[in-house]
Amino acid sequence: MAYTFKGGVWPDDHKYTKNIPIEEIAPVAKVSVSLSQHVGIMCKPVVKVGEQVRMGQLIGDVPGGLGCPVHASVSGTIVQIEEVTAPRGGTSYNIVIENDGQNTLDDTVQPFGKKLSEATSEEIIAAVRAAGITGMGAAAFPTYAKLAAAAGRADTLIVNCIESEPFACANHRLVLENPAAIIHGLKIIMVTLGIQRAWIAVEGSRKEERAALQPLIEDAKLIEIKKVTSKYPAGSEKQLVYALTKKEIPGGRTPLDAGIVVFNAQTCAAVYEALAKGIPLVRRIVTVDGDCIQNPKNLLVPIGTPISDLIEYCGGLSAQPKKIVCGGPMMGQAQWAADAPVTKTTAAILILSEYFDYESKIPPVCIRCGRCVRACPMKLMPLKIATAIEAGRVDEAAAFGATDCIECGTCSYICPGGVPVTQLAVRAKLAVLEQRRNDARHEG
Amino acid sequence: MNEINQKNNSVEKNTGYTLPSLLCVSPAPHIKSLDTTRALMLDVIIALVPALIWGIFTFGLRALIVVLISVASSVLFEAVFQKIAKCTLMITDLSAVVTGLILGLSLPSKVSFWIPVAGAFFAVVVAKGLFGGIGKNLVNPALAARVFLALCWPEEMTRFAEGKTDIISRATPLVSLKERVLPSNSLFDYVLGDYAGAIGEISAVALAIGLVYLLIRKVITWHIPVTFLGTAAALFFFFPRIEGENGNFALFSIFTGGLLFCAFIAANDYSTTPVTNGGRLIFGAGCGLITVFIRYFGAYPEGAAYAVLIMNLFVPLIERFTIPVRFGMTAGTKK
Repeated sequence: MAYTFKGGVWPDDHKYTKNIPIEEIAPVAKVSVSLSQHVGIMCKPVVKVGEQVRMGQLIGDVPGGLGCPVHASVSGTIVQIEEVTAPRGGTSYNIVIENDGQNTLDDTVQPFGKKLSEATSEEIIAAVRAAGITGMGAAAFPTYAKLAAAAGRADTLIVNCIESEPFACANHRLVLENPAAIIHGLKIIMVTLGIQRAWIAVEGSRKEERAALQPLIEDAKLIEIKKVTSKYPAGSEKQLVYALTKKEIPGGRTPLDAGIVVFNAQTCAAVYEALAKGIPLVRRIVTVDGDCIQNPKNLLVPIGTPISDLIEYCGGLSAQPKKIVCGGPMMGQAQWAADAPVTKTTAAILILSEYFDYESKIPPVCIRCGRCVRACPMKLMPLKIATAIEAGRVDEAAAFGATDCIECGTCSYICPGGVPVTQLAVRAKLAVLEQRRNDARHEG
Repeated sequence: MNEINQKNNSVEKNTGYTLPSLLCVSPAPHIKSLDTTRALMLDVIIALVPALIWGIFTFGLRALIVVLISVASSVLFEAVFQKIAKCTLMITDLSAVVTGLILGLSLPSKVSFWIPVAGAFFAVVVAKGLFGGIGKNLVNPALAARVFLALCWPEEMTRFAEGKTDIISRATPLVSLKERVLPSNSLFDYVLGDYAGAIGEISAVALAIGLVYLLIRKVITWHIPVTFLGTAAALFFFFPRIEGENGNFALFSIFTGGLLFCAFIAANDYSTTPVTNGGRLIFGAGCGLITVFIRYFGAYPEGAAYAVLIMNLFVPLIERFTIPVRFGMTAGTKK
């Protein structure tokens, strides 16, 4: 029996690249590495235009507070530090590096100096921070901060191999092709946090993933593979923790409340790469797919590679594109230009034609079918939140739990009336948070 | 910009398609379930086809004409209303067809042809359109129209044609049950649908096929049909109006009149039922209870349609008390 949670939906999985091995992209002309790829404070550049950099060299860092450094993903020359509009508004900066194609490694790229058993957890956490590792699922929370928070509080580690987003196959390919990196990363995290129990969560339908991981597990008492029902959003942290432990983590809280810490499989592999080889997070696996792509592929690409280069490497376009989505189709962000770069959390790039344009001639109407209520994995009433915010009733939206929304897209996906329920719920959530900030200011 | 254009040109050379300089931006999700309102309504129409066919088979072509008039005038009134109210024309969502179909099937086959027209007007314009259209109406449009017609033209609404074998029916089975007498036909006739009644209501078999189809297609959930019928059946069985005939009385009561039609199909209208599963359980139980009360103590032999309308008015209240417990808010894990 696979573990599961309440609600959710079963979209077509579109996993066309499931059987296509990871391929390293040919050197690209330029990369533009964003300085805000993580939750927290934006990095400040530590290099100047015209400077020569090597692969793995630190190019942006956060002096203090929550943040995550960024590194040069190729070797070459800094040609520009450009101002760009961040996907959610606001200004961000990209460091543009002209690639010399040599991939010369920086001198700082050195394996972790000590044996793990001799190192303190602070030392390991510092190494993880120096490697610029963030959560590679979607949240982009700095991994060192998660480790630091979990130290002494977590007794169970969950490694999340689940990709419930359609199209995305990056984790799946990683599990098949480099399961050892995941297991090694898992062990490093266990040692760092002094944890005695780890679960590897895989989708129940993925026998081949279990077959790849199982032989590498030496001590079945310490590390266990857990099957989770394939449905969306099974990869979501709260839903995954509920499926495995039946503990519900309320909105605004983390699984640490239940003594659990969750890391994405790719994050684990990145931790291993950082400690064993000293390579910071400068490359990631990206599924390039969609109905406009000639040859869909799973690519290992330098962070900062522009989407247009990925399209070109995959044989160009096979249909007229209408949308480019950065991430999976349920939660990914539509880009307005094809020169947007890959970031540490870009699991997929989807080039979609108007076939995926669902705008109807009929205006969206809620017919009160209740599908969003049954499907909401947070057990909210999305239609009520949407109705409240459309009428400007922020308090009512708050009472219906708008701030608990995990923005998974399930309600919009399932809505027969074509109502952009998720968008309205997110609007409600932001309005409630702003109102709370204002109230706090007035009281203060 | 030049560089982008160059890049785009090189892509174009390869394939003949270009990346537009500005792409379409829209909020996630970028895929959608194919169950649109129209698809769901089409499923309801399909679910009603067996009942319609059985009605035509039993009562002849006149039954079809009555239903067609009802459907056509519903769609026409919806279109005209939306035109006058300056709304977007939404008849392609097929909801007016469903309303017309349910109304038509709940009429006797011998009604005058203007009756379905008047009913369609009341359903689509008064009960639905004036309240804001699909998703906003308070009461079930088709059932409201049916009750409206029964109150205004009771003679017309009891012009039942006899079933194929039911030649000597003096009173309809419901009137007979009201007078504490078991109907003269065999139960089998009522299950199959061979007696005097409304076009689409007579055959339990045809309605059950429709219900199963709706459940399999996940158009409706089991909650309302099961609690509606279950509550009514339990009350009929434990408090029969004919002493010592618990089983027979319950069976005859269930298989006659509009109870199954309402429980299986009509009461499941989205707009006028609670959105939560818990709410639907209460709604269905309430419908069953009120149906039995009207049949036992009311002036009318039939109660199901009235029961649904009354419960429709309780929907906002029911929803208020059945808000699901949010994730992480169950006892013990509260913030």
